[in-house]
Amino acid sequence: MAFAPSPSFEHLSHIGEARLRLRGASIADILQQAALALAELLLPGPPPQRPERVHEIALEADDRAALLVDWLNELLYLADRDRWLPSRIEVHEAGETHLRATASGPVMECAPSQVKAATWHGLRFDVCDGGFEAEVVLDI
Amino acid sequence: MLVPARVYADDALWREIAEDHALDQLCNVAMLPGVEQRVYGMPDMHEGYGFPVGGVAATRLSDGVISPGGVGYDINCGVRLLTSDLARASVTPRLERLVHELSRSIPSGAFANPRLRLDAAALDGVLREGSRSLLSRGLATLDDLAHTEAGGALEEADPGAVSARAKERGHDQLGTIGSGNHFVEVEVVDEVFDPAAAAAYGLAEGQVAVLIHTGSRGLGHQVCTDYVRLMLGLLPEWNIQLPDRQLACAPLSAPEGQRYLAAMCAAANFAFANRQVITAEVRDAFRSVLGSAASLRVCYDVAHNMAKMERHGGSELCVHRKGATRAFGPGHPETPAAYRTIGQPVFIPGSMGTGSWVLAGTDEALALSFGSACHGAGRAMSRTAARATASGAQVRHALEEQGIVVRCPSARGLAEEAPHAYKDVERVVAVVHEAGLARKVARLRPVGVIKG
Repeated sequence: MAFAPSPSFEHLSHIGEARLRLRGASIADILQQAALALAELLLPGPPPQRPERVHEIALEADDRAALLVDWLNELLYLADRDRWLPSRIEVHEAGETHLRATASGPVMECAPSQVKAATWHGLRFDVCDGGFEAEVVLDI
Repeated sequence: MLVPARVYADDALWREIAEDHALDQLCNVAMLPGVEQRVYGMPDMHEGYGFPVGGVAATRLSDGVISPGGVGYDINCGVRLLTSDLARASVTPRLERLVHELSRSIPSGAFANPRLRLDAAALDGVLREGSRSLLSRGLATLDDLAHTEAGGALEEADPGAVSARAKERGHDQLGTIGSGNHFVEVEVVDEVFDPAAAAAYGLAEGQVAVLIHTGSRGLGHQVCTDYVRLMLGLLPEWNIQLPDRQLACAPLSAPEGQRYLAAMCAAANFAFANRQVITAEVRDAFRSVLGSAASLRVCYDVAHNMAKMERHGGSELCVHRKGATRAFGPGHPETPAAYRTIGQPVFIPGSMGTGSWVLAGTDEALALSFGSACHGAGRAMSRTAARATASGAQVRHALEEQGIVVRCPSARGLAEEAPHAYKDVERVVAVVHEAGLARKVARLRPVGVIKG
């Protein structure tokens, strides 16, 4: 009997960019871990005490892998536009092709835009071990 | 593979290139519909996403495609060299103050530019006319434009092809460096290898110069994001199958292909204008610290992430250069008039602590690489590995030991961009020179670094 993996993310080796491996029991777990990994790349360490901004986000995509890329790129767009760090994520609902979430975090003095985009290269979002595992490469 | 791949490297660089997935990626590029003749890997090639960084591929206008992944997210990331008549000895006593003034006046990291927020009409003007749009603001001269690739404005640009999201990201980012490997560096001409070419480029040993490396910022990133997404959804309609989704592309004959070209050119114009605004800030800083006689001329400004419509061997081709720069020789009509007897300048930045190079394009490069050369030293180590090897403080200390003044808002960024994280630029340049892609003109040595 397989046990669902605990939600987690890790950085895999990539010479020029950032490659993330995400694990979780559900699609919502994966999307949440992806956002947390992104926030850590944007600004390592605890988020600063600054005025907060909240974004309600709803997305639809063709499949869960596309949903993962769209989700990260949505957060990057908002982070760049609003100089905002998505440090707290609540995924309310996530399926194969849709997502509804609340993302909140501090508004910064400058946009935390070390990451340019989530790419489709080497993208996978698989069912495994009673849960899900995904990999995505971010352009740094 | 529809065409063969050729990589320019010596034994040591080949071993480094073969360590990651860059060769697999280059083979994938050789499967793009309408790919012509051969795909090329430059000696600084390393793994990217979709295309390898340091990859060149040309596709036919008649039956080929244009791929946003072959340009990358930082559209028209490129390098500009400014030259001066200042001797190093006249700058050294005020170098600290000069670097401080440069870092104060040019927003780095991911800061916006508080002095240049563009309204919708002004932003569209920049997207349409690039550096030319800055003439009326006194931020550019006709001489600057004459020494910029394509005059700093690509005619195919259409601001209407750029999304509202991209414009939202770009409206306050003109004149900013951004993060990652972007920089403004004060250089000294260390050694001249081709006196005639150096003289034509305005370079002499011991002279101070400035290198600017940045691109189209968030606006360009969003253009790529938008069009990769759009094209992925239309691939079945065009009956295009790809080995990697990041190679998403559109037929050049399709409206979507032409619309991406128009948006990419608009983002490229934003990048030309970005480097032009930074040029104006650099000039102000030099005058402020060194006096009103401290003038800087644009030697040249070249893109290294771009797709360009070019004529090769009688065919109209779309040449994708991802982490590769044009290297047109003296005989090419797009080589600036001032350099028609020499060839266009090609800039190969090293890393913060090692030399950067100025080379001259050759006519032979047209047959060797669609007129292309490499764009830098190329990463040899991941960012994670670089951070594990030395901290930002250690890198800063090592650079200061070499007499290099450094300003960087991020210790992590400094560690990730440490000189040891890159390939040996001397070796990379030697391959380019020996292969005939471009020839050595001069080596520059950094004395002041402002990192993004």
